Amino acid sequence: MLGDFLAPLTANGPWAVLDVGPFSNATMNVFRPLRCRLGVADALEALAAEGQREKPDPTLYRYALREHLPVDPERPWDRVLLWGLLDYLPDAMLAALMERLSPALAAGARLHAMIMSPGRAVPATPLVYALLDLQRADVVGPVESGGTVATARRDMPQRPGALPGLQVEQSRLHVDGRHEVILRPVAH
Amino acid sequence: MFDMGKRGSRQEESVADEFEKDRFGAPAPGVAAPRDARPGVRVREAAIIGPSIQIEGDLRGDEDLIIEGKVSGAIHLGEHALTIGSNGKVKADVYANSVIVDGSLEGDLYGYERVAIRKGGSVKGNIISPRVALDDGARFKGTVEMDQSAVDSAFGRTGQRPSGGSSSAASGQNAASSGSRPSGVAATPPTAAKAPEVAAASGGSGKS
Repeated sequence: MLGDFLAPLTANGPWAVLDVGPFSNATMNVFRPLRCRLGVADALEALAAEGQREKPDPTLYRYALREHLPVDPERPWDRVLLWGLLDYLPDAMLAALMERLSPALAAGARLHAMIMSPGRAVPATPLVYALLDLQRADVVGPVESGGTVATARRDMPQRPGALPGLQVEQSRLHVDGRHEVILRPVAH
Repeated sequence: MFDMGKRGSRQEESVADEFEKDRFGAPAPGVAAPRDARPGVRVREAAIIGPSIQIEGDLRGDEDLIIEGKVSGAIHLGEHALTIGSNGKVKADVYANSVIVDGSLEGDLYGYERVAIRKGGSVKGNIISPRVALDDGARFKGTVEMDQSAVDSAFGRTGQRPSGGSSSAASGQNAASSGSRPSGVAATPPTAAKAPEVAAASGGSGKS
């Protein structure tokens, strides 16, 4: 499924890919021969910390997103990696995230999410995913963890719905409990 | 004004090793190989900005440079190499043939040949270079532009690669650094030198 998501990048470039989560050298190594523009927001840890507030505050979420997720609608993204975000961010922040990201999506853009099964334990320090090749991605970190937390208790149909303006194009449940989802903007 | 002492700019480990072997694999004018050099790894001298030195303004040079101090403004090294040492703190747009970051850099980084961020190094800004290597443990936040046409555009070049040794053809950085420059490293007050634009060559939209 990841192969379907990335296949267009192997031709007719240049393309632009945004990784919202932590930087991974392995991911960059996979994209390097494709000569694409790779954005690394490294925003997950900061946003997850912001999202732990007891009371959701969309205004503060928007402020945090402005700081950690710079976007330029004149340089839109063709592919966006949302790995781990749906495990750690509350719904209100995911909504604010899409509000910020939507204007910076290219026509035909697709987003790829990795989600752990509801209620499974994940490291308190957000997971780091990396591309192993153009077909596979896996968890490569964190090396040290400050304990574990349960993933957000949303079931599968609800989670993609937490991203307004997107709909599920493909979905796959892996044996290790991960859901892999390809999303596309509804309006496109 | 600042420490102009020389020392070998040999990068000793990790991603930078590959750098050195490529860059210094063949003897070149101005390259000195010390007696204790490891086979395949050459050492060449570089100017050093020491840890107690702070520079504000444009910094231009026609030789390799190591920064262990603080620099803010812009750095233009043409076809030479820049190393930001582990103590180095740079807030500047950087234009060089190759760049290795051991310390921290805030700004856009234009490496005509290569850019490497080592473990412990930190870059917040955009990297425009055809070859980018980042150690595990390096921190990076920004955009990596690896398309050669974007790199050529940023350097105001039209596809020709540096021929090695001819500084005038490859010193680049659009018109900002053209013309003859004094040898060595010179710190000058900030100027209106315009950073190259890469947006025009980045593309990435309109595909489905």
